[in-house]
Amino acid sequence: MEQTRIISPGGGQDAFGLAAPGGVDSGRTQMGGPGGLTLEVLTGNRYALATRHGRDHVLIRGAASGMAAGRRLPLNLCLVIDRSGSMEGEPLEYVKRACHHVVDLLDPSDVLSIVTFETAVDVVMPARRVINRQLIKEHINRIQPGNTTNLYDGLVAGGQQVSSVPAGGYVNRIILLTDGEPTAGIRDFQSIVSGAKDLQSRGISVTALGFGPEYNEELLAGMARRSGGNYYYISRPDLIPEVFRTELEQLLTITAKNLRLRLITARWVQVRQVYGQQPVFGNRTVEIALPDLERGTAVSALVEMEFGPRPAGTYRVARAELLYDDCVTGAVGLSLAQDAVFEFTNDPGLLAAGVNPLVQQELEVARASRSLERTMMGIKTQQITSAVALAELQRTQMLLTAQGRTEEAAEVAQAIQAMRQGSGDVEKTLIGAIVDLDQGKRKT
Amino acid sequence: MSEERTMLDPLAAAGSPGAPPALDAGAYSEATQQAISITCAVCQTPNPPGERWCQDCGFLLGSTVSEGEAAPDTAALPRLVATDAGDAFFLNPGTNLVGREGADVLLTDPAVSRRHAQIVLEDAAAWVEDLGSTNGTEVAERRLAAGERATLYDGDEVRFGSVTLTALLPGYGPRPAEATQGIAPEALAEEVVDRGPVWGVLVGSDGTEYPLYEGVNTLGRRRQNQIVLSGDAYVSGQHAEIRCHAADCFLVDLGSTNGTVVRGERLVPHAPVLLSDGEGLRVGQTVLTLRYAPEGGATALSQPPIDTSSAPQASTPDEFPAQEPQP
Repeated sequence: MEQTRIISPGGGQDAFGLAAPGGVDSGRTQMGGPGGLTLEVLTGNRYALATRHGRDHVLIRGAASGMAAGRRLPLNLCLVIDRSGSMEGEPLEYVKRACHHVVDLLDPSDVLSIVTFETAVDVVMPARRVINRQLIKEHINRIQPGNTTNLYDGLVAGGQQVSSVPAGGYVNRIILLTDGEPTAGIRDFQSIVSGAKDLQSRGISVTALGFGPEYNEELLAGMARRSGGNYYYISRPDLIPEVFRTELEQLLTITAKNLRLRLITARWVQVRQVYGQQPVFGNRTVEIALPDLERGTAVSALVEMEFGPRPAGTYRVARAELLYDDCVTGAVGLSLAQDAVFEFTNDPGLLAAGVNPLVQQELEVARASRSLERTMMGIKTQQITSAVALAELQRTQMLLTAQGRTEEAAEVAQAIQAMRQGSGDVEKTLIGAIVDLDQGKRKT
Repeated sequence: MSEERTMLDPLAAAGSPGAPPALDAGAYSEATQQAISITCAVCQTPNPPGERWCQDCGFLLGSTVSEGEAAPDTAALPRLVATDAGDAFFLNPGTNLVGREGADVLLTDPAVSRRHAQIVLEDAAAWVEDLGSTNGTEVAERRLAAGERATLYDGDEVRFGSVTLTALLPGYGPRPAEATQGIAPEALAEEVVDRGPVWGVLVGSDGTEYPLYEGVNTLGRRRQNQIVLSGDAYVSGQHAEIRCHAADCFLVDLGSTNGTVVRGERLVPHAPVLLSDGEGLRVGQTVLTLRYAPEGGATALSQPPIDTSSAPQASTPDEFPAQEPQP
């Protein structure tokens, strides 16, 4: 949702920011790495036409094995809690209860820090091992409601706490909970979201929990998306502890972190887009960051590529590399590689036979996400009637169900129900489905 | 390119199976020419021994190029190329979206809007349309208004935000000489067809005649104006308007930097002033004389032309009608 940067007319603009030729990958190849991570590359079609320009898709999927690992990397977690005035009463009490749960679920090897924010930021507990649980809970009990919402400084302080511990030996995460728009400190969308992006480049993901009807769902979803964390919408205070538990259970089964996918393309191949992602284009390379992988989950990226005419033959259009750190063995800088291979032919008749339905399905899902985004924008700007929006959502829900995306379909169903009841939860629920679809993460 | 190699090296060290990592054929070939390199049958790039795929074009080394149709000639295909590199964005027949996300011509520059412009290739002509982009689209140095279409010719420079590309459109022909001067051909055609008879004329100090038409005539340094004074740096992009209605001709300064002077006085911006036949005006450093067309409002003019020679025209006061200076 970033805005287009405005350049001053008549010079001063930076050099051409051209899209470098992008990478692509194809062929069906699979490779397993240490720690049970596998990389798979599927091409949308076995064949491509040699005689003219063509486009096709490549699906890249990294999957973590479902086997329970004997051990895990300890967690370095910071809870960043909104204690603005609106949290007073029930919400804050449930948050405290949720924090107690977190403390109970952590091991003495895990590191926990707690930061609260209102007008100012308060480090309730600096990063330390979870040894004296009772003492930590007493710290938590002392959290009192304040005034305004200084989310940015809270996020920065959380990042500092997590960074104060050497990052390598831990799974690093911030869980941020807020119930309102930022009202103090740095408030603009761009700064906060790029703050989250910076954290990711330091190996820290942000899980954003939005509570109640007042918070800015685009902001929270943006933070989660850019940093590789999760986004949750919590409609009632009594659900807060449950969401914390769900998130923590996920964190405790992370088997790979710092996932980056890099495509290195042949010179005549361009990457047009990676669906739902904002890739970094380099000279013949395209790179995206992927979220941490829990046990038994897979993450995929769907890439659209464009090929120029070629002499017929077999080509590797791109090489896909998955770089990651293993959270079971603690090994860092691991990588898996796969080739994306197309057979360029002069015979258009072969194309129909070479289609890979799996990639087509993934494409449908990617389009469903864009359709949800459009519907959401339409609702927000009131450019579509609720009847049209309902019909759109139902169509998307059916599509997601047909593609086996049951979790996201359920989120859309929830949004449909909210819409029928005329409640304001529609957008907050929908954006969750969009984040989930765009991150491409699912249970295997 | 060496960057790419560096990035990949750790991978080789990690003992990844399969191909050696470097893709940079140029850098690699120097080091490996001694050994038996494999030359790619398609692009002739030498590849180090043990490489399975050509590092440059990805061709399966050792396989043969299929017989049959000759390799298609890329040079004959319409495309946009970067002015500083050889990268090409190929254009398909029909509509090609230019933008920052999911576009046919994907430009990742932050100054490019998500849906920035579209380029349409039809049988007879190619044209570009700005889709209301933040930083605008420029064709042959003329910025398009949102929604405006401009014909695209072979060799045209097109700017999207801060990205400048050259359109290579074999088969569409180069930009006609008069079209490169300023106004897009459609606009020219429009002018001829729609603007009606000449209402009057502005005569420059060098004798250049700028026709005035019934209605609003814009004057300025930019090429969108009907009267383009591109040679005078003291003329603002949108400097003034000359509104010709029936028997009257009004001059309006549009808030220009260096002002418009009539009868020795700088005009108040946006306040129309009635001009008489034969009256002089100065915009920037350019002096122009207004002449009503014979059949125009000249006869209807009640006032005699007012003296303008006291105006501080630095350039060519001679061009003003010879009249007595006012006290």
